[in-house]
Amino acid sequence: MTTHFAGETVSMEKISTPKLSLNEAIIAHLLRQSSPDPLFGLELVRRSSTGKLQLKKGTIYVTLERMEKKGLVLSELETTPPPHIREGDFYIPRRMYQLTSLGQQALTALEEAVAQIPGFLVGS
Amino acid sequence: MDVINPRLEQALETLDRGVLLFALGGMIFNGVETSPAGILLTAAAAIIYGLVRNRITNLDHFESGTTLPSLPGINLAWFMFVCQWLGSRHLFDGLLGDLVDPEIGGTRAAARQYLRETLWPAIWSRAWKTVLTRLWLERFV
Repeated sequence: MTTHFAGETVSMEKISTPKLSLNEAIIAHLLRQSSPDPLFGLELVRRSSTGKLQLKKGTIYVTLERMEKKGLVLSELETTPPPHIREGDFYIPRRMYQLTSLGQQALTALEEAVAQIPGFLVGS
Repeated sequence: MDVINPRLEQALETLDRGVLLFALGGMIFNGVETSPAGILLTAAAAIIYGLVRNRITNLDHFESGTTLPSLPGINLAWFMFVCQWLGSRHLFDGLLGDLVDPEIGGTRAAARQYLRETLWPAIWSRAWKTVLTRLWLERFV
């Protein structure tokens, strides 16, 4: 489906794809990397700590909550405890996150936009 | 996490915007009139609204059979209470889930320190981001 926007013909999908903030983009990237395996918040923080852009403990859940509201990620509680948990250990099912197709689209749209920047800078 | 009724959610967001604009306007005009009592009353009313609003949002998420695991030395009932009024279910599940990690939840002291270091910044970040979003400033979130 296409429509006219700012003198250009663009697809409806492009207009309705939500924009990602920096933290959202990092989370979406990490979730796509691990797909189809879901990740929990602390694991996302750990995986981001190897790069220059790092997620923060605690505040990541605020971002994940917002992303779920926007339909970018999907969450569910884990069904089996991790292997290191023994009987009597503290355990609560962790909330696991997965990227949705809308999240994939948003990340791809962001990557395409970022890829255009070098050409834009050289051209100007 | 299920949203009970998207239309209700949308209506509540509009209500939030109205209350926030009312509070900001009230504080500015009371400031112009140099009325500290007016500023405090407006701020107090806005804070009470915010707390109750968050509680309403969390009502179903926390009361559908939430059973607290026991973690010696840590008052998880208090932690849940704070999350119900100030935080969210994601925050509750997320931070408690982090304690499953042996590095964080391995000792009582480490677990307490982790919750202390993460809960308040997370709640502050959530409140700040909510205010920005309600003021149509989502791009700065």
